[in-house]
Amino acid sequence: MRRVTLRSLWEHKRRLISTVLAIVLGVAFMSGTFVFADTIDKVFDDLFAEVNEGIDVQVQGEELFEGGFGGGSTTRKLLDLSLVDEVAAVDGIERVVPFVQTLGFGSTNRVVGPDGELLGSSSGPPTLIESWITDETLSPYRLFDGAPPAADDEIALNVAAVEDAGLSIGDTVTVISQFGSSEYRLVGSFTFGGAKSSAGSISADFTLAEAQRLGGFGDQVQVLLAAGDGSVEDAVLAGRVQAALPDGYEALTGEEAAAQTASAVQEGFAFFRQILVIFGAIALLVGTFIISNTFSILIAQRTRELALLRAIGASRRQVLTSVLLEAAVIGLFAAVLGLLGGIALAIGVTALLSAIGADLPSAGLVVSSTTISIAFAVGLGVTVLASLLPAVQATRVPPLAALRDVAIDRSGASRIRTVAGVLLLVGAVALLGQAAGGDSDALPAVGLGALLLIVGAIVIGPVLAEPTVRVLGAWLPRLRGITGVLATENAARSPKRTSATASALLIGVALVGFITIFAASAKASIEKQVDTGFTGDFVIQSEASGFGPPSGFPATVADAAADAAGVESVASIGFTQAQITYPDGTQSATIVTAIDPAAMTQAYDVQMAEGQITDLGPDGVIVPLETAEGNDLAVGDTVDVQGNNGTTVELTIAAISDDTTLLRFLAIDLDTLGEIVTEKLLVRSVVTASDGADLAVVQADLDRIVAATPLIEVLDRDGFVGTLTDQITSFLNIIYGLLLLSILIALIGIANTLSLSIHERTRELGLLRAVGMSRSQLRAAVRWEAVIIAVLGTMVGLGVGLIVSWALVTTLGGLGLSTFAVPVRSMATVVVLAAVLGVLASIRPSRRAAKLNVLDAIATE
Amino acid sequence: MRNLPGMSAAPPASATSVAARAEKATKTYGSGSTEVVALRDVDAEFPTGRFTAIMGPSGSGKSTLMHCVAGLDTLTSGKVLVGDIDLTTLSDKELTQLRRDRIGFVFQAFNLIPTLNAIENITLPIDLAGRKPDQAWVDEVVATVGLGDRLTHRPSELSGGQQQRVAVARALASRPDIVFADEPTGNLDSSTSGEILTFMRKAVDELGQTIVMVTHDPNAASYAHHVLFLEDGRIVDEMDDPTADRVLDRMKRFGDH
Repeated sequence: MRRVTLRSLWEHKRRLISTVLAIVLGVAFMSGTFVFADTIDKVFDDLFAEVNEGIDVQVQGEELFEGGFGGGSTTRKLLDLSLVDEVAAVDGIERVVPFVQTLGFGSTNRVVGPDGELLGSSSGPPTLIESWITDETLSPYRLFDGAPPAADDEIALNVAAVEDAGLSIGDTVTVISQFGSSEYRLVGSFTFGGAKSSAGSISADFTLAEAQRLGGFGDQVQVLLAAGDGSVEDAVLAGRVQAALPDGYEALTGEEAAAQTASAVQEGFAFFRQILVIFGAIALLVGTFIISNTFSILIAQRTRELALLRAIGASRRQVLTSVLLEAAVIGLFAAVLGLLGGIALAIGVTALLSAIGADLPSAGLVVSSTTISIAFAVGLGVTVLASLLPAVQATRVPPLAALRDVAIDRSGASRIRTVAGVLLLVGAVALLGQAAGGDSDALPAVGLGALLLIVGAIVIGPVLAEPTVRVLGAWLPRLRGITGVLATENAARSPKRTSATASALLIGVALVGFITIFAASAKASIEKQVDTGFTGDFVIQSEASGFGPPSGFPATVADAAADAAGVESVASIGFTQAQITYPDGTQSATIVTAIDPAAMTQAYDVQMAEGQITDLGPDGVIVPLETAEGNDLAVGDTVDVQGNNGTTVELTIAAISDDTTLLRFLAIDLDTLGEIVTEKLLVRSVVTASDGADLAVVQADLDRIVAATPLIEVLDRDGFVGTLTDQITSFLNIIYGLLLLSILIALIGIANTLSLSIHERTRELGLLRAVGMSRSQLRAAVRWEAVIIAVLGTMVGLGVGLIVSWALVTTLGGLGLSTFAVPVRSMATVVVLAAVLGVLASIRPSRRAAKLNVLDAIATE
Repeated sequence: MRNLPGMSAAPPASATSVAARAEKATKTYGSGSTEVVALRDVDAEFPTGRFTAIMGPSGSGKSTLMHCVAGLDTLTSGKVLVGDIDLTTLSDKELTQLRRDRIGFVFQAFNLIPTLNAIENITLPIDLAGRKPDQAWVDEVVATVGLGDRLTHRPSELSGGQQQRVAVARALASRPDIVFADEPTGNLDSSTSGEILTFMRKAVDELGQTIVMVTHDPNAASYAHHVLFLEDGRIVDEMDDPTADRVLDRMKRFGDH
């Protein structure tokens, strides 16, 4: 029996390749993610171990709270420079160097060349502003050319930055930070270990005093790096330093410090890995449908062979084992190919990163045993699972079928299927209907309803496939004559097959539809709120802050704007990251905004759930409704807020906001902000022009004011809405990119099903050719069949997406999603794209059909 | 190869009286030691308005001759003419059009497209050409076939005999120059076979059609006006106004020489 299985596999090896492709892609994506992420982990482990090699002890402030600006994942207490002497006095310590560094993602820190060109990009690796470490053994950098920065107007850059921008020693460069821009003379360049950059970052090094100023550290520093005299082990030395330190500071060995830094970076990547794995899983789910469908078709085509096996004495169990064994061999094959593909993918991504300048120090690819196990478990598991139903089908082939003509399975509408499908859909509607209340408590019900809806649509698919295909194809005969009739009839002839093929596409498209509609609704909600609530004329804020933390600008910009002609008022919003302690003792790190209540009411009509903005005083705080509900807070309760200078203030809740644009976070008074941060920064200033002022003139004035502070821009109302919705758009594009894989696999499924169907219809196609169907007519018939299947899957998918997004948007109505918007044009584009992709999927099968030799076809027994 | 008596007795050759003709038709498969010759220098004419049967034992080349004359297969050397058109000069596309517009086909089995109903199958070649059917003619063919209310049924809902009648009607519907039938009654019982063959003869006698039929059944051949006998890729004999007995006698002599 095993020999029969393997022979039959070998016979159909070409068909197998297209079958496994679906699984190979999914496994490749998954294992590629793991290989890449593991490699990145190792890169950073190696990197930080290498750069910290010369450091024996590192001293840092204790952790204030998780999260922080400038890319660090933890905000720590800063150190006074007086500690340098205290640490240096410890027995066994030879040298101590203070160090500060700010990681500026987005537009926080930028270096501008002499001709005004920006180095690096706002979406790529960050620009680091650091103090040059004067002691070579303690520094990760090696001077390459020139000299280190010795005066406050001198800068040294990493070699890659110098080379890419074509700079030479002696050039003048401009450095932009949140405190404005200053000019520096380039005095030297350096390497990072042996690399020209540290993972693609731009490293801008200054004297300690200048780096402190640019980073907003005041007189303090972040860490002290110390080297011992080698008399004792690092751990002992760290213990001695710890004993000498006042409370609130900690001493680590260089190794510990390296591990801590590496794990902080790796945490960021862990999230990235999770997201990719989720989309990989979706792609594999789609692949499951395709494999299952392929097996069903192959078994239908082998009915006679299976019946013969049964007739000559093979048991049901043997038939089942045979099919599952076939699946296992295919799964194994797919896992191996997928794993290899994944490794290739990881190499490709690394090469791509290197091509865009994010050079990773080579650490060699890391293919861990976990990656290999996952690739095999997923490849094998998914394939065997997918073949389970078809395998059971195979055992039901009666021995007598060997003697009968093989009939195509036209069934689809079994009663059990109909009843189960209807029940699932009714359940889905009942659950999704709970959304109508607009209560976010219905969220779990809506989630379950969405799941039931998709499952229900897939279960009832074969029942509805035939009539739906006929409706979809109704206009085809008029356009394409008999070719159209044949295309429609072929798509309708085996509803199970058509439905399973369309279902694979349905999943991906439903997600696309859902995300598209949800995003459109979010955009519409924002636009509506700005329309009704925003009474200002201009907004000053930093350019394109992307996904990183917002970058700030100094309050002097707002002061200058307030003095400009034709300006009635300026309402500024400051911000910081702070730790909140709620009355029940729970703590969380969050963004805190700071406002001038009186000015705010002039510029913006903030939606309030309770109280007024003007209720906010120096000792007060406004909390968003979401936070209030989540933490059982009421007006009059007190919360503790600790800022990045370590100061904690006790604030009383003055009001509760319900706003999704400007007041999404905790809001305190601007003066209170000054008490808890090292440097007060604004994130946004809303400018209201006086009545009758010429807006164009006012804007020109404002433009002139902000020109001195690069990367800050003046936006009118439309531009402001644009920046609020831009983030949604870029988020949308990322999701589309990730869903592309699932859709690609679904298209492979369509191509695969068509190829198998065409193989099955060899004689029919031969007859058509004999009686005068041209090759191009035949190709057209296959093409339109593919288009019908693709459009079927897409329309049902969009329908599911539409219903689910309606339910979710309605449920979240309380959280600011006030408008349900259906982007008709985007949806139509998706349908047209699906049709085009259907055409693409049909290229290979239709060519095969057209190439058919007429005589061979009609001679087939 | 000499002209056979029956051939030379035919009326003087003119383009109008011959629907199709093969000249020195040779077809070989493979090459070298594995070469198989299916047709050797065959000359044959199929006169307009006549029902011709091609007979011979299996492997005699009768199907190959039909496939080549019908434009389904190409010759190794020699010429095939349908009307005035030399098939050997046509591209695949032109051959397809020729089959669609000027030739009708009836096969032994699997004659109909399962997804199309009877009337859609009948008008298929016309629809493929994108032409309007000659409704009066189609009506006449359909009436002669006698399918009545089964015209909107799918092939799976028709009996074997009904399916073959639809196939014949399809072959005739576009009013082709010539109809080729490959063992059209091979899968049918004798009384149903009789019906189909009577109908085919009627199409020739009453509707003026030209039919060439490949068969190994002497009874089927007896419905033709004229029979060609093939053996080893050559025409070895022919017979006018055959009867089943005479054909059977002739068949018995195959393999004697």
